[in-house]
Amino acid sequence: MPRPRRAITLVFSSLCAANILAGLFPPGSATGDTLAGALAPARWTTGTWQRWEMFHSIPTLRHMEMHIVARDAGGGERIFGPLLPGFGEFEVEGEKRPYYLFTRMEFDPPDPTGAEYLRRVGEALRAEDPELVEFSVVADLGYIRHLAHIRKDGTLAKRVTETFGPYPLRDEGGR
Amino acid sequence: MKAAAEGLASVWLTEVDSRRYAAVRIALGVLVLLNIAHFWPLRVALFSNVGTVGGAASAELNPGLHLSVFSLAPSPLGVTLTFVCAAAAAALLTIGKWARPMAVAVAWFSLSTIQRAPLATGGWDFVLSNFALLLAFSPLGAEWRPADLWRSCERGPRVPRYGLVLMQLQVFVVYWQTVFVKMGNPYWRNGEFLTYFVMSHHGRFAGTWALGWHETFDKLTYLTLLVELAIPVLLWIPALRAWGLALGVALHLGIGLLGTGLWMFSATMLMGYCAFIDFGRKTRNPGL
Repeated sequence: MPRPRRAITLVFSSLCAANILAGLFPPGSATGDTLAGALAPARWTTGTWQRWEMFHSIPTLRHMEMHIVARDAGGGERIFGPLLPGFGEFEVEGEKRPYYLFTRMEFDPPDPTGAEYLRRVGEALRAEDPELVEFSVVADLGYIRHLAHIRKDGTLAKRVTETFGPYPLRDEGGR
Repeated sequence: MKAAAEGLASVWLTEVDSRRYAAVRIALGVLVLLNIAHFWPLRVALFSNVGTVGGAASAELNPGLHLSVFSLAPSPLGVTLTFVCAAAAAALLTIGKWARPMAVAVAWFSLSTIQRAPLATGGWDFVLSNFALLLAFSPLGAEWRPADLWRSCERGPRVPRYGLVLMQLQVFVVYWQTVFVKMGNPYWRNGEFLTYFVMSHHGRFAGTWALGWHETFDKLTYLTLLVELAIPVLLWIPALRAWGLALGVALHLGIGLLGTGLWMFSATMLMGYCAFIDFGRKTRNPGL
């Protein structure tokens, strides 16, 4: 191996190894969070993020259904799926990516991804039916109960409906 | 200084059979193809400018440079064409044709998916992205086609092992970090995790039947932690590598059996084991 290439390989490998091994300090630890903060720009740029927290705690949901409930001025409701374009639906049991997306997106108050989603839903609903005046994002969730409570009555999950909105669809308020 | 350089050189530049890289290259190419198939029904929803995820909002989450290819082709047609090109690149990488540019293309595509829709990513997307980047800068064993790899008894050309060592370190850190994090969680500490997992939307056979098996799941919860700690160590020691492979395959088949929608995660972790497969090893000398 030529000398310059050898030197580059040694430096590149050592830096990559340092980045990977820094992951041994887990998220949530003081050292782990300091290192993650310092390395975040490089890790995001290169796709070498080191967060391996899969199933670090129990899954809390047995069931999840998301939909958009839109209303017209007379109170009539129309229900749409949550995925754009086309208001598609998803099944949480088989499709993990929409589940990840909607459980990580913030609506109350909206984070940048949540705000952008609400804006896009508003636009799509206006195009779908100009008579609609407002919409809400509704999540039907089945929260798994504590094991002791399930043992008592055999009911696995408690159904909770979380509603975000309503968000107005008029141009001046819906954006 | 010279001694340190020699030490580094012995860690990174010791030569190994190029078939070892070929195995990783082929496995990664197949896994990226599978991941493209996994993304396909959602590609417009996740990556286009008319989809569920806003590009500017995703870029705000990224403290680094935003290099996603989807910024160059944000329309639904552009996203579809990008996916088709990525699938072609992954297929060509798998068969070793134009392997270097295809490896770079696959790494760029993998990076693009996690930069464009970070909220919709699974842990396996990050494993693929890490491995794709490492492979793009490593020897590729491109002279080995998939069929030859398993048929031929010839030794391949010798190439430096730095890429394999980095991939092995990555597998090690994936397992150990997850155990460290889990050990701080009350449901892993009290052994209830697996019972909840089986009853959740991740569970293939969800139902209250799991309560009757709680004592078994309790033991399996602790066993899972032990297995995750042991796998990288066993994989690293050549004499115990077969045990590491067997435990890892059992763990990830178990996740695939008990869980639903998690097959990409299991398959991706098993792909990482290819960095440990040593073609033609005749001795049991310790080493990577």
